[in-house]
Amino acid sequence: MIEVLAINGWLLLLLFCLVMWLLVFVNNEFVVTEEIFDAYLEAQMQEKYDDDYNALASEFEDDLEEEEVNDSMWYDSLLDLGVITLQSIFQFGIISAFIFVGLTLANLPQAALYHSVFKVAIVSEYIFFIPKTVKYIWFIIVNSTYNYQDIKNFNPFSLYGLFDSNTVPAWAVYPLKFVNIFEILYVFALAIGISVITEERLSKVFRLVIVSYMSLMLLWIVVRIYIGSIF
Amino acid sequence: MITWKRIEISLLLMLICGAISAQQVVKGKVTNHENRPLPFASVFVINSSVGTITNESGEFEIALNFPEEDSLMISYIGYRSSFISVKVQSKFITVFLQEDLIQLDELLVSPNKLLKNPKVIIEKAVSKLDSSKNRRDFILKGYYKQTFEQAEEYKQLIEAAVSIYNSPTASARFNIDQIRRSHDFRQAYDLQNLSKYNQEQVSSEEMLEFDRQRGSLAFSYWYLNNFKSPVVENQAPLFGNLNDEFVKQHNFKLDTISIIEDDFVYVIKILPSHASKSYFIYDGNDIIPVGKIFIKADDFTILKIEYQYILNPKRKGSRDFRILQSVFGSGVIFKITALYKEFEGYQYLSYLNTVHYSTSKIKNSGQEKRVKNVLERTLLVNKILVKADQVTQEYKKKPWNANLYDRKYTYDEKFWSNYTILTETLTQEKLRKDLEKKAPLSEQFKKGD
Repeated sequence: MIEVLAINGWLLLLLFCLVMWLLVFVNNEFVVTEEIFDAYLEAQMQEKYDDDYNALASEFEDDLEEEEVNDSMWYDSLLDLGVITLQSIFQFGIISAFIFVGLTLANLPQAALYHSVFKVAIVSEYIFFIPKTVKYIWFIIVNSTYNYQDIKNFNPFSLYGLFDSNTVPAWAVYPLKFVNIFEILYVFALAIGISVITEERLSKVFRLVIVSYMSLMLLWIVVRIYIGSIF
Repeated sequence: MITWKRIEISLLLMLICGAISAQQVVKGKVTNHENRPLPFASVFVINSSVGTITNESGEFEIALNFPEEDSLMISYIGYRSSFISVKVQSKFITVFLQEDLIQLDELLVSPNKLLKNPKVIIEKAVSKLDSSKNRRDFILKGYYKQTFEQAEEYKQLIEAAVSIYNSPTASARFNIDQIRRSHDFRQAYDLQNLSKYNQEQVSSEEMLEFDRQRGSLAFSYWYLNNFKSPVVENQAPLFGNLNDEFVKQHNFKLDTISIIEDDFVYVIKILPSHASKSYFIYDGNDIIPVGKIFIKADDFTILKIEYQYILNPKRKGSRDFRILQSVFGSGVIFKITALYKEFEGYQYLSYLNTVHYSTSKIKNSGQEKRVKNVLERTLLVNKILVKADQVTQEYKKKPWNANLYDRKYTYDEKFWSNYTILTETLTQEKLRKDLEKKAPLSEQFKKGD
């Protein structure tokens, strides 16, 4: 961990974003394919679309300007990378801020500067590449006949994986998915990293990280449940 | 000297008068010579504002006061109008309209630069709107219907007799004259309030506020948003969205030329342009406005507008198209239809219909599914009061209460049995009967009082 934290923070961030970008590419090209997504949209509707639209479409189609239908433009990938980068900066920034406030309130040494905490957040996040990689390997190699719902329900290392997805109320899905092995490993990684940069005992730091991080996550889960209930 | 003979004669006279002056609902169907139904055909009492239009199956029903109102004119663009006398005992009449042929040599006399530039026709029609409005007080009386359909089942049905007071010097005023409505079984819009709206006793203010929060579903707001009456002289637009901005925001193309009552009618397609208002804040070119407008060639009066927002068929293969289609449950997002009628030299609204499509996620046996929602609202103007004394009298006696959920209304069966409404299609009848199985509408109404 010490050697990793010695690496330049921007380099760590860039590497993280590139790996995430690669995983997004794999997901879009090989896992959630057009066929899988279309079948999901099709299955969502209990009723088929009415004929009114078809009549209107055929009446007006010839009068409309031609449109180039191309779902993937050359700059889409760059946009993805840009979005991933901004999202990561925001995410790490918020997590670091909560932990940094916790450390400050606990009067821990000034060695724990904000940028150091930020680096710890980046490094710890690498843990979440493991479940994504496992998921993609599963659907690309192990179980290649699947549908979109299977992908959404694939959470074998979480509390959600212990329940029948049909019985779980909508509001409980995200909290159950949140409680998983990798989240626990992530908290440990955060604690170890903070312990290294502050040169404090792990047990003391662990309590601080739990309180800081879990406060943020609790807030986040409530927001997710609320948004999920509306849409 | 009072004699039984005098009493008998009086009674006989009363009977004769009663028989002569009787109100009766007459039903009918309008078709062409191939027996194909003609939807939105106008059915009006000659020299009167009393009238209705046919439904999608060409059917209509109209309350007539015999003997004064016994002559009907049935008209439809592209067909010769029919004039019929209705007998007191008539219950159902079938009207066949003959297709009218355009004499092209007559048409060529018109300035053909108009034919090449349909935008100019629209501009003339829009500017004509101002001169064709009645600048005195008048009252529109009509039938209002609101249905919320989800997964091919009615969740809400409201029928009301309404009055709309129009004045060039004051805001429009609205009154719910009579009402008939179901329990509110809607669940989709606000799942958080699900339990609340399954309870029987919900106050009218809560219901109105509930509807207001979701796009102004109150009758008066709906009317003003879709068909604004002028409040003051310099306020535009007159007919809903039709103003100079509308002309700038669309492209137009002459589709065909039709005919009605020996007058040519321009049928112009409404097409999107780069200036078209987006239906969403962001939708790119995925959702576009299209429509048709029917304009009389001799004086540029507007007869009918059909306007809708649809998914752009040119983007059919794209992922965004498929996603939007699943979000709305239909390729048609929103549509509005308005018909206009001329009466005593002025142009009035005779029919207004809007349909909004959407979807909701519901859980069915543990599986999440999307179901289609259709919110449809219709106003059929069945009478227009223009005489000053009539308008004043009517204005004074009404409370001008536009609250659809005001529980002080009582169901008046006699009123509804002699009132002009829009005839239900077979599908609508089935949906209503299924809703009534939960509780008969008349019973629901009594419970709400």
